[in-house]
Amino acid sequence: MNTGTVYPQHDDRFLWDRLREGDREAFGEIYRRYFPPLFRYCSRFTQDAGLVKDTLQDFFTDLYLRRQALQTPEKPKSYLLVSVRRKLVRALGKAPRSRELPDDEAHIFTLELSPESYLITRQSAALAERHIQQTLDRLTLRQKEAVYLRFYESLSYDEIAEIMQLKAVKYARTLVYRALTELKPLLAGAETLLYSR
Amino acid sequence: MSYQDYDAADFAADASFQSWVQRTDEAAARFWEQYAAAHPDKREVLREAQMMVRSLRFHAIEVDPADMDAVKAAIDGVLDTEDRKKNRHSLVRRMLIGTAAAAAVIAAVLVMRGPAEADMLTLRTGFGETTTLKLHDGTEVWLNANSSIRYPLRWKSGDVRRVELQGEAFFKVKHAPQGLHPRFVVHTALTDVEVTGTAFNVYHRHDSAAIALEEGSVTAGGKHMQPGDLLQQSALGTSLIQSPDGGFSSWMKKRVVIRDGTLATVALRMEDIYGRRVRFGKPSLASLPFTGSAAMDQPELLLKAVCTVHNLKMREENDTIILE
Repeated sequence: MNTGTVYPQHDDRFLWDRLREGDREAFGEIYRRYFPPLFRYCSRFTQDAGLVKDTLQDFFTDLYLRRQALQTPEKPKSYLLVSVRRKLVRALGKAPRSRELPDDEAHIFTLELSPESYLITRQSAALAERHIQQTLDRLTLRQKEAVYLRFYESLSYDEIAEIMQLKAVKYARTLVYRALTELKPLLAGAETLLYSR
Repeated sequence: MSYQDYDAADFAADASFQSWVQRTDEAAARFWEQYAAAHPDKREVLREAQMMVRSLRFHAIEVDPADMDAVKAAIDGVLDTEDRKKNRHSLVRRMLIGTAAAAAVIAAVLVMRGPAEADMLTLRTGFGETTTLKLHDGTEVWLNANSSIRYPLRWKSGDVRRVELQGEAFFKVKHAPQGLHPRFVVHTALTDVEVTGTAFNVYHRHDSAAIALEEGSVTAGGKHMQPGDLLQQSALGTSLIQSPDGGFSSWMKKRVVIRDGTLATVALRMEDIYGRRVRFGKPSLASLPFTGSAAMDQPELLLKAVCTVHNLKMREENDTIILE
């Protein structure tokens, strides 16, 4: 399988320069590096894994075919996330169920804690778990998305603002801190549990 | 933004910090344990950040590798067809040109082959091994252990002289060689060093880069350096300081020198140069200070010095050296 084993050590700039010259191995390496985070991110917006795979297939095919018009992005990960988000939201808009929704906005962003989270392992009672999910669900879609990008993908506020098309970087920060304020009682509860043992 | 300005949420979002808390990366662990020991004022903030990392673990849907391969195969199918279409066009064109002068055909074929990729060479050194080489323009390179350099067999007159480095090397760059481009660039994953006739050391491992300038002038990371300067780049930012003499490029005299370092520095050097893993019985040992040197072919002397200075014992377990 040609998934790029020639350039595992090279940095992104090198790979993008090679991609522009039509190097399929470099393309394979970019695919290998970025398909997993793009898939993870897209899966937050829809349960339809088939739609996500189709979208990513078109996206990467276009990336290679339009390679000569590409600029080497300053931050490849956020460049790819913002481009794929646009494509996915458009594809979701076309899906028959959601015709009534505005074209440029997603209507879902799921954020669930992993079973590995302290909040869940320490408060294993089903009731507590439901309480935690309810608190998470109180976050707005945009707060959820910003929290995911910040804490799961470790992106900077600059990058988050770019991906979510916010007018200023400070709005990305505000989204994250509002969310953290909502979650504070949960975090404080977990800390008490941890240190009382 | 530097770590000094980080609040708990910033630390909790930092990928390297996360891998420390989740114990997925030993190099990160070494760094953060050292950082925590050196910044007692950050203790509360770091504790809060740890708690956030442990709590804010989200459920993610990861792609099945088989699906990822299947999508790639579908893409490759489309792209192969596209590439074939293009080649068919150029074949027609080549046959037309074939009736004209033979020289024109050769030129067309060369253009289609693109950049002369086959002429790039790579030289690699193993652990504990150093080497020297002379490039086409007369530039001399000393390559430290566990490093590699990629360079062309020859440069064309219009091309910027460019090499790619992983690990550590000392360069004595030929100034304005006749018929060749005056610029000389050393590319690493983190930084580009731009040179015009000079001697300097480039170090790039573990996501940090250090450039030490001996003579001449270079520009790196947007900063212009004077002889004796040391430029350090890492996730923490870029800083320009006076180079401590002997620390860098002492390896050219086949010596390993550690100046104002810690036991963590010793461990890192042992891993970089000899491929030997060093662990500590207690994490706190990593931040003990250390200054010392040894001949490159006798790394055990450096470890013995560490043991004597800090009254430690050394033992080996499955190829790992343990200090306790």
